[in-house]
Amino acid sequence: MTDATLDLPDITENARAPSLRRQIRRGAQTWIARHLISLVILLALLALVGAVHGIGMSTFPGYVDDPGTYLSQAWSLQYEHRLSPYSYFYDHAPAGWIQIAAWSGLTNGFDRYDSAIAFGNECMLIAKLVSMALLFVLGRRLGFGRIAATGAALLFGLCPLELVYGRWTFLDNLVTPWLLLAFVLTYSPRRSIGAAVGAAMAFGMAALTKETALVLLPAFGWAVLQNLDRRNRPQVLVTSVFAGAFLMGLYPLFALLKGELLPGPGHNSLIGTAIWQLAGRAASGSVLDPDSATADQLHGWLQYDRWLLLLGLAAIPVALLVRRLRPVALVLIIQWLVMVRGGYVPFMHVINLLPWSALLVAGAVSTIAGNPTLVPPGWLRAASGAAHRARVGVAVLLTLGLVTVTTVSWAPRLRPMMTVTQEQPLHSATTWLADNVPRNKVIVVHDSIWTDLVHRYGFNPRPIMIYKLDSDPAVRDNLGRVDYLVVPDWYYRTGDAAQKYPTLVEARKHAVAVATFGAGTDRVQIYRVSDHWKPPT
Amino acid sequence: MRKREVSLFLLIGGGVAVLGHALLAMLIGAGVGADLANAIQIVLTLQLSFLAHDFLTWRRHTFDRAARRYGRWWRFQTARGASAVLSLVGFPFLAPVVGIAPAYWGLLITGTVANFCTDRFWSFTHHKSRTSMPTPPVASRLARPATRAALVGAVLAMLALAVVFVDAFLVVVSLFMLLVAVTTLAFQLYKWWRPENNDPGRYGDPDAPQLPGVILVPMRHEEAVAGHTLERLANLDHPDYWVMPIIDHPDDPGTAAIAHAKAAEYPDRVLVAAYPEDTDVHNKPIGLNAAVRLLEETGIDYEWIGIADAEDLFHAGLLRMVDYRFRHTGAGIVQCGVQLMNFSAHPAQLPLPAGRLPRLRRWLRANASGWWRAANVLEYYKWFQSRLKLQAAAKVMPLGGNTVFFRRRFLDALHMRYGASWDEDCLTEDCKIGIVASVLGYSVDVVYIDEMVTREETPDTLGGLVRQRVRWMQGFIQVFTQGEWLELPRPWQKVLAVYVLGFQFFQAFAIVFAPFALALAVGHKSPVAVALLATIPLGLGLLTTALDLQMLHQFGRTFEQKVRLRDYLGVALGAYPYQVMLSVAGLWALLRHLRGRNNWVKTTHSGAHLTAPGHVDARVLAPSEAA
Repeated sequence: MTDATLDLPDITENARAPSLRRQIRRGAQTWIARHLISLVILLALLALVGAVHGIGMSTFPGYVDDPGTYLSQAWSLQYEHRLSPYSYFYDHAPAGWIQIAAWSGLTNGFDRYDSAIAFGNECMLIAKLVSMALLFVLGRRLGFGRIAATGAALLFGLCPLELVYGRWTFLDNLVTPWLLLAFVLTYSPRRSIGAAVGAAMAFGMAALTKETALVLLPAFGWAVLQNLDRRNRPQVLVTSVFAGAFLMGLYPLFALLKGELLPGPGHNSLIGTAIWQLAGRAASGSVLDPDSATADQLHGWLQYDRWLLLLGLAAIPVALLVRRLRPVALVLIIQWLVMVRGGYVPFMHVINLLPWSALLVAGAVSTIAGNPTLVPPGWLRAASGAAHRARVGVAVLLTLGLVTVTTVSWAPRLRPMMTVTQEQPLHSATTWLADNVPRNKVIVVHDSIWTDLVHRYGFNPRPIMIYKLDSDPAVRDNLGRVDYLVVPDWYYRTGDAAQKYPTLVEARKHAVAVATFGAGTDRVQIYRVSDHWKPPT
Repeated sequence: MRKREVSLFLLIGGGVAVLGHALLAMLIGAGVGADLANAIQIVLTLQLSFLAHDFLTWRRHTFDRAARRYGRWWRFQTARGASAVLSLVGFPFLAPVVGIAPAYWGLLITGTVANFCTDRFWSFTHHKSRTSMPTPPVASRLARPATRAALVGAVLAMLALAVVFVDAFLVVVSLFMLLVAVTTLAFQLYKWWRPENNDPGRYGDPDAPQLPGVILVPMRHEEAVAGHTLERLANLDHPDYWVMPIIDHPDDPGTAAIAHAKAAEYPDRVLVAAYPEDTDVHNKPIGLNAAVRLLEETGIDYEWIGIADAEDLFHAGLLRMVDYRFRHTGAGIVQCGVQLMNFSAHPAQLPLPAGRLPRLRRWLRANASGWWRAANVLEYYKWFQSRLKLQAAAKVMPLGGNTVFFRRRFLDALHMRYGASWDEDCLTEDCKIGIVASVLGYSVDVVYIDEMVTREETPDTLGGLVRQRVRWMQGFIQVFTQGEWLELPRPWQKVLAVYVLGFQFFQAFAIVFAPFALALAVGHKSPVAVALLATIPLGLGLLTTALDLQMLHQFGRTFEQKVRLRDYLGVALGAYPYQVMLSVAGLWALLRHLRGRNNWVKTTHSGAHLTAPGHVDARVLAPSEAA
């Protein structure tokens, strides 16, 4: 035996496994110590953005079509264990309202508010806060300083355009956190299999929440490839690709198990609906064509705010210079290209542009300032001297300009959004219906109040959602009579109302208005239909 | 013999049933109430079938034991009566769910199988008093008839519940399979989980060796390889170590001669140890313990003991690395990588057999064995690179059987605790020693360096592989029932220990059952959510296979072996059959254990029913790491 063996560490000491609780506590302590400053900043950001988003969200903006649909589907899932109160026809992948239903199931959401829309607003507030926090983290992981990451989070969190669209219960608002999570995990500095699998599954969740997220697959794939480590590359690729594909594959598998994958007579089908969505729907034209519907939409968005969208567009060339920012820039490019392509562009598409615009604007300013993580040494980065000073000076000026412009432009727009006090006409109509109409009347309603009438006021037979009246054969076949019509005026005013809603238009000819709420196109009139009129069969 | 038992059993059962039916019809015709008629019929037919079975079916067991017929009668009445009552009670519940005909026939078949099992393993079985070999208390408790009957009853009850509540059953089973699949993946991927786990420089650069040591080489009928192995072991790069072949001299003069020649050639390196003459039993732990006693007697100074098998060619730099890792990590055990190599389905990899059409036969044999060879090779690849590391990190650790090195102070602690370093009655003493290390608080360092792994071969035949697995799995059951793991300090370690010891079973059963779960879900028209859940374990099984393919590719690149398309095909197509094979081995091991047959090792070497051709036995013993 030699002396060297005697000064060994005591074997049993380091061999005794620490208790699980102790390991967790110690891990949490080091984690908090490392991220304390970021946590404090993040908490302040959450409080600020949460307040701006949350105050006034029940009264602004006005009700639109889709939120009611999604909430009714979430309600149906929670209380009837079906994906839709009507037959589910694969219009969207169901993960979005499954998440809403899960939150509602956990917190009894539909009973906590006097309207389903208010519960949807809460979900959107949560999604917004999560998105903003993830945007901050993503910025940090891309290499932004805390100031730049805070800037990105604030641009996203306080933009009036984002506030309007972010308050509506749209699936896109649920896609955003999943997409951001996918990128956050992709840029995980550990480069572990767990992070990669998480990223792929988060992307899968995004696609299951709204299938349009799939167009971002090239950008996401690029980000994944950019963050591989030679030492575990094959394993990471195999597992993460499999995990993402498998998760997304559950959707067609679901259709297959229900016998609804392929089109056929007498049933809905995933493929059939997808073909209709891709080919059969009226294109809204390219944004480059000034007369197209898409250009109109862009114009409508710019009414709320022009700065973030256009600055994001301007930031793309700068971001493309930086290797780490390229995949993120590609996300924004793809989202803009969707509008140039000339196909159908839904009016909430702007939701997909805003977070990435905010990120790229902050990234571009960081790049100009010469952030060492983003800008490699070389001709792009001058470490010192006049060039360096000039760069920093430009960046400071840009930041100041940005702060000034957004403050001046956004503050006056945000104030009314937070202080509107007028009640939503459709909500008033619901209350009126509950007070004045027997529960056994057949009511054709806008979908945003359907859940309230069914869940809260117990109308039976169930009211009929307006867009199902003429599109769902099952509804048409069982329609014996119609007693009341409760839809906003914009339904009657669209040019092709007679083609799109023939039964509605016909019924109104035999009806009298018994109550009126609100004004303008948002006005809601409650019509009582004559007993003598019967819907055509 | 067995076949005749089965056919007699069925014949008597059918005959008695027909008789019983006639009796029932007669009684009812005579105006007896239906309930009473049934009861009379059951009692009478039970007696009749007892007599028939006692004299005919099971005469192999009952012969010469007329005096104990009373005990058999009681057991028979209890078991058969219980099964009859269970069927009668179960039928009204089952019939509305699955339909009358399926319920009737299902119960009939289940009942028949159950009756056969209770007859065979309980009612008509007599145990010889076990004086030959003391078994551990838990094991004997498990082997007791009442316990076994309870086990069978529990399984039957669970089956009945599963039939009635298919959906709930599917959910539970799917969740379990999901857990198994995910942990399988986690075990398998640990090495690549984070890049630094796979860093080429993670083991450090060994400095000058400082610890003296001994390599023990148990040998038995190894004339073919002994000289070569000892030559290599005597010339490793380490200044201060001994090589001790352990040989049973009277039994194996050939190997002894080779070993003594080498000892004469390397007088200060090789020292021959004798296998004890006072026992007929031949197994590895006895030889190892004898060698350690010899070490004490001769006063050789050592700080560590390594184990090599007769055909193991250690890498020349291995001892330096082990020496360095002992000092660097303070570990009580260093386990180095062992790697099976012959995955290829290419005929040139196999020797040309004698007899007619040798080339054709070799070609067939190579292609027919490729699937399990590749799977077996990959198992080692994953175990030693990934699983053992994770288990070492969790400090719950069954060890490998060779290329493993023990610190002296750990062996001394074992000696203090058990009176011997290796458990001479355990089938997988290496597995047990790993668990005990964790209990005693010694950590294990796992070293897998591609160029330093000890290269071995798969068993020659599929049968050899199955036997090897049965032995390992039974050994694991034994280690489990001995309950050392209960002394692990942390609750999560105990959970992990159960999992690690049962892993082979869980994994095999989970994968084998996965397609059936899905088929059941689809066939039974379960809710879509249940069916989706049932597909997830299957999907993860596919992922495991995909990773296997990728690892085979990596294996070929690392060890510079050509991987052909048919090898990939073998892994892909053989993945499921391989798990079926493991399940069969698992079941077999379980049955052997329940029947109290722990004598595997002894029979192996006395050669009766398990002597596989060539060196299989030595190799079977060799890689009993099995994790």
